[in-house]
Amino acid sequence: MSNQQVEISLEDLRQGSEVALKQVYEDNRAKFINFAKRYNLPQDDVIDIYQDAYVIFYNNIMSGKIEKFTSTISTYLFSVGKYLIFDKMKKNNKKVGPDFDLTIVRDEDEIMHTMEIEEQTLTHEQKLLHTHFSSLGKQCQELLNLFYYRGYTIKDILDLGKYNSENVIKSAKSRCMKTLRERINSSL
Amino acid sequence: MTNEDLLYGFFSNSLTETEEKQLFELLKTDANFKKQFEFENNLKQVIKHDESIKLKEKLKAFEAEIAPTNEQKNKSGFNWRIAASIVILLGASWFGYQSFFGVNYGDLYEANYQEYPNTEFAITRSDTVNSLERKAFVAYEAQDYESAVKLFENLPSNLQKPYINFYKAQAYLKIDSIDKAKTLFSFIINENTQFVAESHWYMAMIALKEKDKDKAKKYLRVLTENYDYNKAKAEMLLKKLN
Repeated sequence: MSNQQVEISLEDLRQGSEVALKQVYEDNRAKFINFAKRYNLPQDDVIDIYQDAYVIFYNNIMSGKIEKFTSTISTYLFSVGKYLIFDKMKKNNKKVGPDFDLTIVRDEDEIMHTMEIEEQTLTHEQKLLHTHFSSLGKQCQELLNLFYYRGYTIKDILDLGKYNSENVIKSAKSRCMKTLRERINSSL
Repeated sequence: MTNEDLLYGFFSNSLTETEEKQLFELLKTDANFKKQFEFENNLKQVIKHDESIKLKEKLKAFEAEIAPTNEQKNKSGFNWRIAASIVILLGASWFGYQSFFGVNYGDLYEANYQEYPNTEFAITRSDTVNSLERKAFVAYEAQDYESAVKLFENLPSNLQKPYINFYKAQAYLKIDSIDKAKTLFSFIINENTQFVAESHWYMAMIALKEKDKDKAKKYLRVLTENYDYNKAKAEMLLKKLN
């Protein structure tokens, strides 16, 4: 895959293109299944891991952690996938291999260094935050999503054309955060 | 730059290296700033969590579209009558073969043996240091087992980590140096550190290769009774050997 093609795909994905999302999923699926064969895992687990790797990869693009591809999309997906496979193998073999150290993989892999892997479960504080975030109006949820998930700057948000000025965006964000805090505090 | 600006820059990935250092310093010294940072970071994680769930659902839907297509492909041009006849014929021959000659160790070995993947040493293109251990694992992953054996053997003692013996044994097994593989697997089992369950499995594989039914059963029993590794396969094999 040439760098130019990769660049276009990154931008397509970042723009939230459904077509690109599906295309990348399908293009790498068979290759990943083939790559994972050597680890002797059931096919359902492999598909599950592929999807989790894809989610992590996609989240990192969306949050701006991956700004530019230095490898092919497959390399990114396989690096994350391999990390998840090792993690699964470690969990499956709890009784053996106490010295098995996942940090060996994580530390030495440059790609994994740039990736952010979120915890699967939410902490108590996060659950509380989740409840009240879900109760916010649609506009607030969208604005906070652009800011915290997509890593957009105020200017990026202005460029989307939904707001008239940077000050309007800043005030809207402050109001949303204030409401969120108030709702959490009143529930404590 | 105000504290607010620092937080804004952090969450929009626009901090310079110096500003980032300033932020981490403040996190250590200013409790209020830390509280504010954690609140926003938690919010980020919450939104990401929601988005991940939505995306995973989408991927499952893609998968559901792909899976029936694959099944259909498999169905097309497939003659079930011929397949059924072949299965019956093979079954009958297997039954006859089993009745007259007992266990076919070669088949059992071929059906169950697979070299263990490298799960210990991650090889990436970005590695700057071409270490001796890396070279050995590169050869192992490239299935160049002759070279892998030499490279594993030549690792200096400070690089002889507990898992090296296991991979060395794997490489020996691949090049048919069975006795050396056996010695190493036995050593691992006796040392009782890493890859103990796996070593039992491979000792059972070697016993199959050597048509030693009792030994194969012995290792498989220890494996099924004490470990989870390849448990289902080991139980299946035990049934066949009994």
